[in-house]
Amino acid sequence: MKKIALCLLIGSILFGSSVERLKAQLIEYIATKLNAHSPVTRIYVANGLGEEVESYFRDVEVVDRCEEADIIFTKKISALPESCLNKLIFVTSYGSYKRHKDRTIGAFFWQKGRPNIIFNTKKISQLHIELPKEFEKYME
Amino acid sequence: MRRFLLWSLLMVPLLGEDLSLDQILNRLAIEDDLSKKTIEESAGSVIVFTREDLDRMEIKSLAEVIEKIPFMRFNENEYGLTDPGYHPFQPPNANLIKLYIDDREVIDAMGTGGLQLFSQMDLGYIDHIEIYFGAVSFTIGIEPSLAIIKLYTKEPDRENANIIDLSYATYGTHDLNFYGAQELEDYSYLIYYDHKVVRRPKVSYNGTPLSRNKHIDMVGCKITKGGVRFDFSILNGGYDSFISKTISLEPRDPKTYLKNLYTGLYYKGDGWKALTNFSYYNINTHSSSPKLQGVLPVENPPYIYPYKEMYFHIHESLIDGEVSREFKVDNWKFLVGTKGRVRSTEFLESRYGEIEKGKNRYQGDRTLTAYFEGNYLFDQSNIVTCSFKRDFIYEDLVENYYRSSWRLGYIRNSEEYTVKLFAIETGLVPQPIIFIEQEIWGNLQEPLRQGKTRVVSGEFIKRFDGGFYSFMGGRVTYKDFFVRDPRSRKITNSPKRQKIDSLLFRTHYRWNGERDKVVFRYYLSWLHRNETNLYRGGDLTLYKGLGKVDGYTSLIYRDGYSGLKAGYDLHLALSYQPNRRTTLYLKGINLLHKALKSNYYGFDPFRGELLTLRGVDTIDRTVWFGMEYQF
Repeated sequence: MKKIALCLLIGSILFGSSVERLKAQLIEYIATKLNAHSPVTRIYVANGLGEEVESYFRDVEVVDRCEEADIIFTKKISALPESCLNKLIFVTSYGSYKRHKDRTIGAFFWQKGRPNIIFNTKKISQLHIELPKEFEKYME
Repeated sequence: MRRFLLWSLLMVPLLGEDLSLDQILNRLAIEDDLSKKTIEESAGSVIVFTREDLDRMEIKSLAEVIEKIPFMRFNENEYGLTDPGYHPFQPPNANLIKLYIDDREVIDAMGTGGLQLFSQMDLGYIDHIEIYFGAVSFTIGIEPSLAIIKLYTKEPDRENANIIDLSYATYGTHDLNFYGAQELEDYSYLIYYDHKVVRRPKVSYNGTPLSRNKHIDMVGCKITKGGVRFDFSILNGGYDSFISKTISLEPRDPKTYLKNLYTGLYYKGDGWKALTNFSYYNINTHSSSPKLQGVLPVENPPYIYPYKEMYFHIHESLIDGEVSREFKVDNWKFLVGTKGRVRSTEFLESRYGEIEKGKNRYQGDRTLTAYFEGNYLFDQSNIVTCSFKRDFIYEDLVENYYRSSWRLGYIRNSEEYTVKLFAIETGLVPQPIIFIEQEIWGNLQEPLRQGKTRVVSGEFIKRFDGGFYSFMGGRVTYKDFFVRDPRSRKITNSPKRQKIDSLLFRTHYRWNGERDKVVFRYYLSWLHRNETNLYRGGDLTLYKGLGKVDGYTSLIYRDGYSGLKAGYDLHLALSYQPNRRTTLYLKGINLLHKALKSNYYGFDPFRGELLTLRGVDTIDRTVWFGMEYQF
């Protein structure tokens, strides 16, 4: 029975969780490459991603309180405390991005059945963030 | 176990693979595709058309998918409606190919199968399609089936867009469809609308034009909140009914009009699933012929009445519901459930020439089903599945039917290969259309026994880097199936036993960062111990992307059909995305004009002569030009 449990655990880490692993890679990629002058190392991941995603992070530290984070990944901005609203916020819902465009630097969402990334040009320039060249095609 | 751990350790460095943002998004699109969440590997052998496949195909109707189902040929009935068949043999009116939209079985009026009506609809609001074949699990649906086509509607949280699609095709066919889907704070919605006018080249018999034009308007919505979903749709359509039931093959402008209303409520959560659906149909069909529409037996005095006009007006409603619970006990995974369906059919008018038959005695049926499925996981790789189902079918006109079905299966799964073995036995109960015909012809006194179907199938799937190949074999046995005597039109149980053997090879390979894909399928099927008459078929399909252009081409082959030349149907689609919001596309089917044709038969009772309409295209050579715009 122990063998089965171990097998299932390893199997789920390697295969069952490939989606979670890719989501973690995506978040880490955005966080680490977002600003060459001021690299992001501490992230706060709120509702919408799941604990499993966090287990795949390698180059960033996940913090428990949004106040301690350099960047926040969240589905609902309305669920964040007031003290965190001045942080870099990246949303994981299209609806949230549309409603709170003035507060977010970008969004990850599905559109027409495909995953999409958008960076909010206005907010990015307000915050004087210098995006790498490969992010330019995602700017809106 | 040691090998597995070693292999696992070898794989660990791949977790650190450096990918660009584009590559991560592309992989996520493939790995997190909705079809991977819905597929039920233990339900049978399965073919999946992913969202990406359907987009590249620029799919215009379900017929394009039906054409590719192994062992099956796309065909149309005498009304010009979709009526695919398993070959070399399938019992008449058995309705063994089922259509599902999400969790709902789509049933046309009088149990004739949802394909006739719904295969005409646009698939703009469909995300992906799964086709189960072989010994298909009966935990999907109430009726037994040889193939199940499952359509999954788009998920609003994966759409977040409003899309309008306009297309125009040869002969004047045109289509306007729209869908809008959004994820909001607490709920999400999908709304869709389709207006379709299908104009097809005329066929003629003895100078009589036979039309298969159609027009359909459909509007619907899906609202989801947590585990609860509400569905609603209305369909209004009409079509020129081709030959209709005109035995002289020379009808004068036959027409059918139909309306369908559907609503459903679903819940899924904590291992529970519950659903209820309601469907309502209103159908008017009229057909006449200057020569002969049909003949009707009259009892008093007994004679055969020839008539030149026929009219039906039918109302039908279907209510069904299901509750099921999934739970685990040690290495067992159980599914227990019950389903029920009430069908009410009312003939408001049925007229044959001067004879008004009024309301038929057939008024519907009620079915209650209880089922159980147990999956035992010996370990990560070995699963045994067993299921049992009992149906209680209460009929108004004849004795009730009690049907028992069972299914056994074994699945061995590893990273390199999968083996699937299934055996199923189930009963065949006459569809309502059979009772209605029996009543008209005064044959209801002799009850039909329940038929029996047995299916045994096995599949070996070998995976390799970028794809897989598979071999599948199966045998279907029918006993006591229903046959119609062409002279008396009486339907009886056949004394013969019919066995069909089949083999299928398929392979699938992806490359170019998994953007491009080639699929090949080839099958053989034959009546047992009659290998000289082989039915052959397959398809070779290529999906290719190049910059802003996506391409799709497919050659579908069918051969072995008596009196018909081999069919080769070439599909081609090209789509170009000049910007993020716009897609322009060009699509063609039956481009070689060599797709498998069909023959239709009538009868002259005065001369005792069989009438034949030969070589009719069931798939027209059609080219579409269209544009999709996102706003």
